[in-house]
Amino acid sequence: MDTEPISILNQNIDEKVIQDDSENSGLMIEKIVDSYENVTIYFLIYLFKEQDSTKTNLVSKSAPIFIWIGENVSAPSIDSLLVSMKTPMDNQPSLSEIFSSQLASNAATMIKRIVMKYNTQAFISYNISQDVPELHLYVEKRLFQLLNQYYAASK
Amino acid sequence: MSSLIIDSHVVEQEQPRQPVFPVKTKQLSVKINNVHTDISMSVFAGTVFITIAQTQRFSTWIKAIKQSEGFESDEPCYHIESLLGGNQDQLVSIYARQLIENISQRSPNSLLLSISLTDKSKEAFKAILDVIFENRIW
Repeated sequence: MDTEPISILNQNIDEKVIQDDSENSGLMIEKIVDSYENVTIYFLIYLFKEQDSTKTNLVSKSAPIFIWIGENVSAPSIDSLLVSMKTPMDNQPSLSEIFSSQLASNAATMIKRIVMKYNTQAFISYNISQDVPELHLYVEKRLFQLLNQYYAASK
Repeated sequence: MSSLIIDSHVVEQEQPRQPVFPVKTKQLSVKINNVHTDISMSVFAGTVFITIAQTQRFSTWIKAIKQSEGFESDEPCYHIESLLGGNQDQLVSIYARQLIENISQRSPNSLLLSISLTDKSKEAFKAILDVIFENRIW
């Protein structure tokens, strides 16, 4: 074994094996389970906390956001990933597919609305395979409710 | 009046089952060379998503897979691709290469890595990977 000393300072634990340390992390990972009719919907949201306030759980408004949305009828894969952000050239946010599947188109308008509303860079992986317009509408509505909660606390 | 007597028999209520979230995650928070480093790992179906953040950004996104078909060789072959962000910095590709090698030893999963670094020293590289490997969830 290489015994070269390395400078690791865990903030609260001396050993290198760390229990989930969400309290001290600058990243906030939210997991929400919801359902619409017979479909269980999963939201996984990564938000960065305000710097120097990791314990207060205030969301940084300038930091990007990552959202994964999945359902119980398929494996929790990450098959599509879209990024959107505002640019100086256009009023509408620009959108790019980092990698895409057929499902990505459903998320395109959703992610643009997130960027417009919260004025942040956003990444979204949308993995709801069922082509039910009401389901997509419900997911979007619920997502905005959740984001409103996180961002409202930071006002 | 019997209806007013409080029945002492306690009906055992079935505990509502905690909904199981299908994606396993772990968050780590370490100071390496005095730089606050946030690390998170999420295991999706077929993909491990790792975030290494020293600047509160996702910054560079990299996908790495182990190529299993088309090669008749004892040496494993990995494909590492920058998806978003700067691809000039070889260091982030080396991070991805080390991580996918470790992941593919234990699972067929590919790697999705988002990485933003301020400390690009060799010591930080070693320390960050050590912490991830010691705490891996794949």
